[in-house]
Amino acid sequence: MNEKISLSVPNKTEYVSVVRMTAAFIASQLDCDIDQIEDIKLAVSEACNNAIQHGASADISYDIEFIISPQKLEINIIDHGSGFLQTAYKEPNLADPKENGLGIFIMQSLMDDVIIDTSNQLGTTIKLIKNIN
Amino acid sequence: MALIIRQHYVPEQENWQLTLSGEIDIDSSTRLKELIEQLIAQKTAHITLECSELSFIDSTGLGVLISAQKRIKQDDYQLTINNPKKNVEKLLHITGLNKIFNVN
Repeated sequence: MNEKISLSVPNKTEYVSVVRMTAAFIASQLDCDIDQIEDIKLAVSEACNNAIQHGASADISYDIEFIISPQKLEINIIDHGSGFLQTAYKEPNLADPKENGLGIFIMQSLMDDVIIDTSNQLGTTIKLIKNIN
Repeated sequence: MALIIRQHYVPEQENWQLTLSGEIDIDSSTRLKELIEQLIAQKTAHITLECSELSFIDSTGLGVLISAQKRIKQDDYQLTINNPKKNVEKLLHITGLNKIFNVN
């Protein structure tokens, strides 16, 4: 049976650490090892960065859902902005890295699955999935 | 955890040495960016980051370091990262930045 924990966070950079610490605590409760916890912290931070940078104005919140099941931790980061333009995303050239554009690549490298959904035209949902051993 | 930065200049090595502790994320990376820009404006030199107490860095922090490396490399200087924790070293590896920066 799934259990869900929800947060709503102001669209401000100073609150990303709150989400990151919450993610770390939940992952530790699920007996994730230290490497998995660090992976989850970073991937969640990158998704929050995306929500802030591509989301709505600072006076609107974005939402985070932690969905816990025996086999996996699923984290949804839901913003209400103009939508991340997924078609514009290009995998970074790691031989000549740019100052921006590493966030999606990092999430995909650290999580078992990353799904970016902009289909509802009302913002972006990034679904991060980490399988639990 | 807040980001704490201590810096000093070693003239005989032409090296800005920064000791970083805490976390570099989208909130704190702006302060690091501004500081490095100030240091480079004051004196272009090598930059060495002591990272043994740096517990977290994200893509915004890496972006600051990439920008700094590009800037000082124009004058044949290099950015070095010393003693990264395991999670920071892993991130440098998966992004290929361990080949762009000196990592010890």
